[in-house]
Amino acid sequence: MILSLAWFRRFCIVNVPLVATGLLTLSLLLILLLVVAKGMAHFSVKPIYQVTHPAFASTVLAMVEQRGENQSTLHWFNPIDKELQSTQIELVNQQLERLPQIYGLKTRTGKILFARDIQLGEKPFSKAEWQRQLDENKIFAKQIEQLNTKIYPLELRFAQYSQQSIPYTAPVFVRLSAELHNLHEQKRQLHIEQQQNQALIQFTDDISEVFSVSDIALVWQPNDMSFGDKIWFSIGEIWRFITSDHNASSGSAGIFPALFGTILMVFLMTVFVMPIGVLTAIYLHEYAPENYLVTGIRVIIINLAGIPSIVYGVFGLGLFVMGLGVQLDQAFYAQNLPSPTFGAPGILWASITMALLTLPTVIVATEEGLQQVPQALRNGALALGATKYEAIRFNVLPMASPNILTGAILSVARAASEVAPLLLVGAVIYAPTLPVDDTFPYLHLERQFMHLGVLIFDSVFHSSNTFDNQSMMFAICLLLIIVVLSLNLLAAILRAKLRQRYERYS
Amino acid sequence: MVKLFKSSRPALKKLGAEEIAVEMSELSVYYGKKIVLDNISMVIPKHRITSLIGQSGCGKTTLISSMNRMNDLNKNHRCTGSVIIDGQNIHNKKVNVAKLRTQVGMVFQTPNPFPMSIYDNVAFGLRLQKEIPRRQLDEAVERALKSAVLWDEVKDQLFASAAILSGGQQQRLMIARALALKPKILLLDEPTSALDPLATLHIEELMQSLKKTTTIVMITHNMQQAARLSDYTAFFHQGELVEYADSDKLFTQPKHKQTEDYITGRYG
Repeated sequence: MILSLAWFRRFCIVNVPLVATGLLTLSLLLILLLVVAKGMAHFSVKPIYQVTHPAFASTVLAMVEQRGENQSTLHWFNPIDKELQSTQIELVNQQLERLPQIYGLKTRTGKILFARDIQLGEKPFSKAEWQRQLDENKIFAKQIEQLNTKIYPLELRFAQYSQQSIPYTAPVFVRLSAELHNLHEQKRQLHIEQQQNQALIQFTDDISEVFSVSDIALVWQPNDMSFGDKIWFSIGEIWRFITSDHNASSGSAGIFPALFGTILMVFLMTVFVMPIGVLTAIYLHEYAPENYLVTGIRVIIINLAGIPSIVYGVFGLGLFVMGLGVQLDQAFYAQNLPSPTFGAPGILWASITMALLTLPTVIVATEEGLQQVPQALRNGALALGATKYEAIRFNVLPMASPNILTGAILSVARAASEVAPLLLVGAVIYAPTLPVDDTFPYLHLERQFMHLGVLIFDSVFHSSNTFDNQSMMFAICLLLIIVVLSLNLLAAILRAKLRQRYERYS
Repeated sequence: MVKLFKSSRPALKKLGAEEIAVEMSELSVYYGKKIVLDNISMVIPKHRITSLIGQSGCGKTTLISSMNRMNDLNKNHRCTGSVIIDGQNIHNKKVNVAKLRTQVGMVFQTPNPFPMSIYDNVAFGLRLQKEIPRRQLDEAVERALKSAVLWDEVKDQLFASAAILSGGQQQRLMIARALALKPKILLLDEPTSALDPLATLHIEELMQSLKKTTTIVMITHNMQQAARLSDYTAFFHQGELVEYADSDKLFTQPKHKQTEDYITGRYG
């Protein structure tokens, strides 16, 4: 009776969950694999080919992206406009030629150039010579910087003198202007010397241009790299990706402001949500009377977690930005009106909105932790003359701390990965300034900020189709996953340590 | 029997005012509508060990809890009558409960060490009271641990977690924790119910030595323990005080049939 109904039922009970779990694990691994593979490809060294094709009048330098059988996307360098352009084209292998002596260059502004040859002054290009000239330029830059610090106070004094209407012929003035003139002359000399380190870049046989060495950020020869060189180059690319500025217009593809914005927003969110969440949970669990009102509040809090996040975005926009922010502006920043200070989307409102969004998580997790603390422990403290507050502060909270930490981590993970509400309350695709800088009050809560998730959103739908756009999207995804996962890992370790410390008492 | 009549303990009714630690009169306690203690009037003599016996659920724990107002934690709780300690009715609303509980220490049935080191466990109550210099705190902790006969066993691991101690050691740590506050009255809720005979012996010896300075009220289910250890014994049945007398008298010549049945084990 193998095919009886009972057998079938048993078979299903065992195997359906098994298959479902297997599929889930598989799909999760596949997502991770896709993101890791595609994201890491962003940092790989791609060869530059010399392409001969009837679509181009002469041969061009290009990176090739395969799309199906014969179709390829060609990211070719247009030597006249000095820009990369993308073309869909049908290619055969004979049209590609991989010459070792081809350079890729990145300028300080983020432009990418492909060149056939580089001349450094009189000499041909070499790593050592390049480095020497760069170092030389750095020294010049430093000297110029030093001169600037000398010139600036003198200029100030010059301005003061002219304000006090001291005649130009007065001896102080004469001495001062002579000194200033001297310093400016020195500075000019340095600039000239700096400009002398020049690179002649040969794009085609007849098109070439002279660049100052300090304008060029990076030179590489993708077709002539050993395996070690490639790895080293990739590591450098990752570093530049994380640390450099983002500028969509010039194509500079660093994501530092977005990473910084994400972390700062999450940090501020934690600062807002943790005290409120933990205190609410303590009140609900320890102090609140048992009645329908409190039960109702608890149910509402749990259900808040199910509200779509975009609704929180709209709520934040309506209440915080348009309500509170506008009121704040009228009360304290009236001198700036009509340009808004807090009456516009900004990182403060974004983090408060996110704090609201993650509040239920923290409250529920904390309450769970408080429930796990044995009543005997509270009684023990109370019997020693502790007040209720002291018993909670010294005995209950430490034992609930693993759960509080769990709540914090869940909320951080949620806040770091949520995009929809941020689009409404302060995250932008490009923010010219970071929310933290060196002008008072250092932390500018009213500023808009960049966010990794928003950047992903943007690179999918809106940005121009530059050659590394898609792979950059995956690279940002990878980074976001790494940020969230490492936060989770950190919390898991901390939580395990705390649990170990307290489990013997409960 | 000869010894019995030479007892140094005064009869309960002849106690002078300065010999009384706690005086309860017409104390009734209700949980919701259920009456747990019914019109109890009794005195606890000073610097003696008083045992409370009776079957589970007869209100013994409620009675000692009402001596330091641990009853308050139960939200359904309501009580009438008075409990007078040092001339003050402690059920008065104006009494500082935290202060009262430092004067009337309580040790629970199962040890409940705090998740801290042994030292911090003992210092917990002291630190709550006021800022004490480290050296004085050290001395107080040592004194408390010594009077709980635990010092020799833990002096090398004072800063180890309290969870590493055995059950008997933990129970003595609980007593040390209460003693550190130098309470006038110590309430013990079945302090040896979970302990082996040797640990029980330790605690009994400890109680005998504590008697000189502290009034001890103890709940126990062990008749032998009550008989050999305590000076006075009270028998409760279903919230009522059935018999309260000198231990020797209660265990040898009980007046009530119920008491006799209970102590001889013929009864529930």
